[in-house]
Amino acid sequence: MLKYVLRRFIYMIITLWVIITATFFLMKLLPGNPFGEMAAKLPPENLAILKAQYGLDKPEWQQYLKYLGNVAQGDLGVSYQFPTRTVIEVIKQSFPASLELGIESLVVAIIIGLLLGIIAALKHNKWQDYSSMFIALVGISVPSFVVAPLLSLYVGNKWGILPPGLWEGPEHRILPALALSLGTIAILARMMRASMLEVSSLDYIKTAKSKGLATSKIVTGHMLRNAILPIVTILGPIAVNVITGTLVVETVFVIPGLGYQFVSSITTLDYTMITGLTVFYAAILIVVMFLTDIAYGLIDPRIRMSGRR
Amino acid sequence: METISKDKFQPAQKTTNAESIVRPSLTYWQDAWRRLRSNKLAMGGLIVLILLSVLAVVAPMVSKFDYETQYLKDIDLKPSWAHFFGTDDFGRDLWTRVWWGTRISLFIGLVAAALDLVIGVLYGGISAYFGGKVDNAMQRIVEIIYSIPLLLLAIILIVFLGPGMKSIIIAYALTGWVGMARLVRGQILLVKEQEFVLAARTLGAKPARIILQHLIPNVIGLVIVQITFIVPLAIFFESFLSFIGVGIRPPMASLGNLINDGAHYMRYQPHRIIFPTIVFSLILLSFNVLGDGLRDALDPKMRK
Repeated sequence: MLKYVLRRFIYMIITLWVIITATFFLMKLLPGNPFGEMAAKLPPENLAILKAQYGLDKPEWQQYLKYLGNVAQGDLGVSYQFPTRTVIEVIKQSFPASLELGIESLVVAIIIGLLLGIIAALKHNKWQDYSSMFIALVGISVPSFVVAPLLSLYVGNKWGILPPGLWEGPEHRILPALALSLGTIAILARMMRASMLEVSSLDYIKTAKSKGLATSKIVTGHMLRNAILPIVTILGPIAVNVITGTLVVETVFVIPGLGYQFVSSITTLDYTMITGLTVFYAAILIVVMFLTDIAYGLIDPRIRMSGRR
Repeated sequence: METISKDKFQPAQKTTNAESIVRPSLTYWQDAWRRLRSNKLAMGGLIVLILLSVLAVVAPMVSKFDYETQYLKDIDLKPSWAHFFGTDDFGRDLWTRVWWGTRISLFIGLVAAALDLVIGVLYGGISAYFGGKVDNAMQRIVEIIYSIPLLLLAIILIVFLGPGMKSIIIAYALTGWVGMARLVRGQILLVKEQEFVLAARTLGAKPARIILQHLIPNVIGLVIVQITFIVPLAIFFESFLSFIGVGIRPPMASLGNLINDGAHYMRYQPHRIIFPTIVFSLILLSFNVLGDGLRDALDPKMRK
């Protein structure tokens, strides 16, 4: 097991390194001058001082090593657009809102998604199954960038039930969390249904039925336990889903989170911010994937054995 | 003992030909098609897709308007017989723009799927066929690329390459093929050790015959199913990028930037978001439904 964890850990580090390297060299490929259009008017001595200040006078491989070192220490650079703000400050300031939104949407998605999946599997090929799977299909086909504006417009604006935007009281959480969770609900419901159906045809379920156990006991005590295991494997895709979702949902609902920052840094072409946040998001995703692998290895011995080969 | 005369023994008359197979035997594809046809949902998806593709090709050609000419007299019109989907704030005909956008989206989806197919099948096939050290090295690379978050990489690539269709396709192709490669490798590994391949080899079949006759037919179903899931993914990818402002640039229309535009104006002109959304969702829905149906139809284990 330790060998397996170590292997995964090394992959994680390599992946992170690939991403950091890619962002560094993309930054270098960028046309234009890091000091803006004004730099052309500066006397060469001043430009040299500026370059020295930012370490740009050194050869590229030294800059690269320095960048790697900085990232390893959590220093992602200073924003181009707002030179008084470092990327890490921005992350510290706006990540909590995103994290909260993400967790809330996950809770909603897990409750609704698993319930839909379970109901669909128990009522296989009945109307409950069809309607649950219909909801799941809609969740896949109608992306968050469509759902979020529609929810904001109708529930928020036209009917005035809930606030259409901003991030203040608990009532401001409901719509964004709902918009963000739809895709995840769909993934979870489909996965859970397939998993439950597979489990329900196994022999030990037949045994439980034939010894006269109540259906509710079979479902909660026998089926759920095994059916829920494969769900761990889709944590990775779900994390991706939630993060990409926050980019859209936060922009639509004007939530001061990291996704909103990211999208606005793309529109203002704030390159250091874009790369810094990308590295940050990538790190989160890669860590989630790593944990997923470990968790699954713990749960299912077959996986870690196959990893050894 | 009573003797039995020989003439009591006569060969039985053949009355029925019970041995012969009455129904024509179905090939794999005929059988799959038969199964797919009986799946109403999947067929519905297929029909909708064909319809949308035809509209995407034909509608911009026969329309009186093009996607970029602005008619400043006709801004913000509601849907009518002149403009089926209304017009936008530059007086551009939305009917034409939506179908242009569909064209672009479908094109991106298909090109992305084709690239995935070529790279993924080749990579996965080579990796699995050679096995051993080659396979090991190739799989380590795959594992690393697989854990790079596709969308984030795409966003930085596009920010730096400059927005546009080429960047989107490049960004997708760089990372998208990995799933396909894994799938193909897994399936070939599974198939190539099975008895019928061994039997073919024992009977003296050449490697080319084994690959063409035995390995590929066993992989192709899975690959087709995978493609029906890749295409909507790529379409979603384009729309998402266009929505956050790094995708297809105006005046060129894409479903993503139409939806993005529509979201800005939807309080007063809901038609601007409704039509592109419907088309977009229909595409995704149909591909997903069709993919599910194909998976059931092409899986040899489901054969009865």
